Amino acid sequence: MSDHPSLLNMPPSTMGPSLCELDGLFSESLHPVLEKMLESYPDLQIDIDSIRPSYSKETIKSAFLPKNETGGTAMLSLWREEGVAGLLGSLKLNSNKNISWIAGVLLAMWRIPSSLQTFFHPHLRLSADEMLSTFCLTRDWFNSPVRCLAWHPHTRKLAVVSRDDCVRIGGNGAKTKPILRHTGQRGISCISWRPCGSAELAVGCRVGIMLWTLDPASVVSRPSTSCVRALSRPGHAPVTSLAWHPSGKLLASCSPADPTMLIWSVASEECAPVRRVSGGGVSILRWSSNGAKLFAATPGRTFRVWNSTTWNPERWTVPGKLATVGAAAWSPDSKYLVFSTDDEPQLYLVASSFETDAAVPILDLSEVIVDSESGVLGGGLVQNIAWEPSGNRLAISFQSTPLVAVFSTKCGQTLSLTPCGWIRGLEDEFPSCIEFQSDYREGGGMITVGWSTGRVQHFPL
Amino acid sequence: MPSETEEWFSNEVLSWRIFGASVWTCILGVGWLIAFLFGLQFTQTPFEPFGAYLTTIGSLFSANTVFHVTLLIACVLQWTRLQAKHTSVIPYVGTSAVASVTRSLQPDLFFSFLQFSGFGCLLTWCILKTGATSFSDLMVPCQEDSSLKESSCINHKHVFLLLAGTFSGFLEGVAFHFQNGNYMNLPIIGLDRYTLVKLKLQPRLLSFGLSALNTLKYFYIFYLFGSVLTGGIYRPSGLSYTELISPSLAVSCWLIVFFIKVISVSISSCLSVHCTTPLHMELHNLLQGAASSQPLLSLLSLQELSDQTMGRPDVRREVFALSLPGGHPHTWTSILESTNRSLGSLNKDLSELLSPPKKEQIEDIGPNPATPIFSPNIRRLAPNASNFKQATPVSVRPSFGERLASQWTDIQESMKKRPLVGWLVNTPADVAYRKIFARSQAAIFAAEILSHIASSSIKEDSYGVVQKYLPEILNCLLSLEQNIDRCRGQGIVYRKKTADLPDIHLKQELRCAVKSAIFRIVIAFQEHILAVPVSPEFKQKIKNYQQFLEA
Repeated sequence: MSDHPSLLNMPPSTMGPSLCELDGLFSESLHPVLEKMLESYPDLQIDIDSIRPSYSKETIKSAFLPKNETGGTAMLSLWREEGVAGLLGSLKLNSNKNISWIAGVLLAMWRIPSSLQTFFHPHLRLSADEMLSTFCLTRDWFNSPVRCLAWHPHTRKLAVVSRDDCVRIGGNGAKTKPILRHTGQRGISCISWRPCGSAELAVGCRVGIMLWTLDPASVVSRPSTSCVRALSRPGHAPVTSLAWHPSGKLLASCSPADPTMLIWSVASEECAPVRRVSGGGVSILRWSSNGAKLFAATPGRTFRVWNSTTWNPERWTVPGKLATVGAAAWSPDSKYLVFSTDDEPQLYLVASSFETDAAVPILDLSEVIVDSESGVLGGGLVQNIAWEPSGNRLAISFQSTPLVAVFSTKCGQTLSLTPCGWIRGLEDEFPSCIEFQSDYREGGGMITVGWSTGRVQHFPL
Repeated sequence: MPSETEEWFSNEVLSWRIFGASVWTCILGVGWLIAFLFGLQFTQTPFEPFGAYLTTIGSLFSANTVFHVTLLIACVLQWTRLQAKHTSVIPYVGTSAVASVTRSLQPDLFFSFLQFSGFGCLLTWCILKTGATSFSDLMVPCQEDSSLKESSCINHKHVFLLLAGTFSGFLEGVAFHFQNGNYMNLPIIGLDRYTLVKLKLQPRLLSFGLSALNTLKYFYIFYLFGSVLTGGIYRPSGLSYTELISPSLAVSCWLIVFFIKVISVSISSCLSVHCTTPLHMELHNLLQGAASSQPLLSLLSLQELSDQTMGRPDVRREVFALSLPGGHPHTWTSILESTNRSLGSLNKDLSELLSPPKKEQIEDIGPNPATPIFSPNIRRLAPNASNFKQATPVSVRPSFGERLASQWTDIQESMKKRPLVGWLVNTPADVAYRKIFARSQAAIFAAEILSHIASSSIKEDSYGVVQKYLPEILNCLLSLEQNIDRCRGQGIVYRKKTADLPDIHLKQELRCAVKSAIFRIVIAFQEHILAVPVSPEFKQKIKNYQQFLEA
């Protein structure tokens, strides 16, 4: 039993799928006014049958017959496909003992730097897809039909990424729903709309960042590749997190494989690298709403809070040998930062007004039985945290349970969190990604949940 | 009369920054010297790298080395002062080759080229004298004729390397003045100076080496040409053909050219980083600085003003405040003047370039024509002045001088179409636009400042100090955006992708900044923005912005 509030205080969830929150109660039915309002919202459901299954490099390779090459051609093909390590590994299996021995020695020497690196940072052994799957805030990223979603900060426009690396955009009264595709846009892990703009979308993927500039008045459903600019640097891939400065002038990007995070001036496509070695990479970025601070979590135990004027960091370390920061969010007034780690179900708080240099645990998120009849559980290790831009609600999704916990928040001298309720989906459905609508003006709030079945639900609060 | 802020900036801030940059360049210069000394030693004994390393270390502690390193430091300090005198925050836009040559003959620039060449020669001499190699001494014992064994002859290799250093210094002068080597761009984010200098130098070291090879190629051609001209094709003066192709000489020459280039770029990088460090001042001083005629002070002040108006409510409160007594918005008036200067002048220049004034004389038809009609056969219809508001153009017959000038212009245009003459005198079609956009940095900050203040005014401007200027602000920004868009497709010149032109980057950033500024204001005011009385041509545009239909 912990000393701080826990999920035991949460109201029970609805028996079936929740559709809205009204007067503080989560309901399975939709009020007619809300139903009418939701009709104007973009319908971007992802049909699992219509999207192509996700393929890894090995499965694609298995679709082709092997080519019989010998000698130098075979070695060249091997080097092209698998690099120096693959070539040496293949030569090590050669029947000639001398060649095998030399290849073995060269391979061991080649692997020394990477062995040292992976000794200190084990996550560097992961492949690009594994890295995306591990550090992306989407639950079960590799198989999820909805990989990520992003609301436009100023208008009712939503972008949804599906498993086949298509970005679908809808809303703002547009009749056309453009689909953004590009050959270089593979393994999308994050997307973010540019503030103080109408139609610039940054897409973080396996090779770097694709920056789309769309014409909102266009009726073209498949914008051409002339609308996209690629922003990439060697070694800065895969990109797992993007964060725009609130003024829209700068874009921060990070990769777990690169200890340098890049701050882009997208207009001129130039970037400034900000580098700290410890941590082995950067996995999550979050810019505060006043632009003064930038939160950067690493795949290790370290996270930093950067002052975006002087670019001096405050370095924090999470307890636990193998703990890393799993998710984080700034309060809308930029006074508070909440985060969770991936080894314990706790929500921690860092506040600028704190006198101590330690984060404070404010919520125990241990698993609880939410519905005793069906045995549905809620809570556990945190997958993602979303804070409503108006500051009234905080939503948390979890790594192993199917419900989204919603809390009422009040930011003042201290932060107060009051349990609100659970967002429940259909049977055998779990939330892949969650995001609050930024520009909600009808009173209350709106959270969009991308479910594991491809369903994209808009949930009025 | 320079203001208090201008004097403070010139006497205290800038001079200390240049001093700081000088110290950094001296330290870097000594570091590069040691690295290049090792390289020179290595060319003499390529199969004994450890020996070369020991020789280099050993030579560093001799009195001779101390003297030459001191001379090198003095040279670097002087070179830093020279570069500091010619730095600019506005990128240079080259016109034609003839114009560049004409410009370089101006006394200031001509003397600067001489100094660059001199520094190149002096640094080469320092590095040669410090490294104990066969190229170090100007005079060496004669070896060809046994009768002259005890006398000295000129070491042509030493002279060759000195000339290479001089040539390299001259080319660095060309790069400095004509290829934006003197341009100080503001960094994207305010990282520490060490990181910024490293970012400027480290990625370009390989390109410096390749560029040094290019310089070497041209130097060899000029040297060969010169020595054949003076000595004849069979016995050229200076080095013989076999001596010229000696690998150790070629590598040493390349190292020296590389060294001069690295030193020159290190100086300009350190100066750029130090001088463009953000200036943290009070609002009152910032306003004086922004109104200054010193481009660097003005730019840094505008940058700091942009940051302060974005992130500090107390600064904005001062902007929205009225003076006591009197109730005048002095602060806002100063800001408006400073921002108008950059935005307004850019807008005006673009408008004039895109829509030049008509050349024909226009004669207004007034209510009293000069020659009244008295013919009894023509009904006298008294013209109503209010009906004749349109002016009809009247062609004027050109004079003899004008006809001659026009013919001379035609001859010039036909000459320009010839290949060699064209290359010398033609200016690229987009030069006029690029020269205007080269001044964009101040306009970018001005647009940001206006948008931060205007967008905050909806909640913070109690007296309506700024809000009553909202139509003018929007008209200015929309007009600038329109002019920038009209520049697309004007004077298209195809260049290599590798041509990194700072003014093109500034143009893109300006376009982005102006659009963001308009969006910022529209987002803050929401649907109320439609009630702001903008010019009729912009009404639909504002509506598009409000509905997020603008790309």
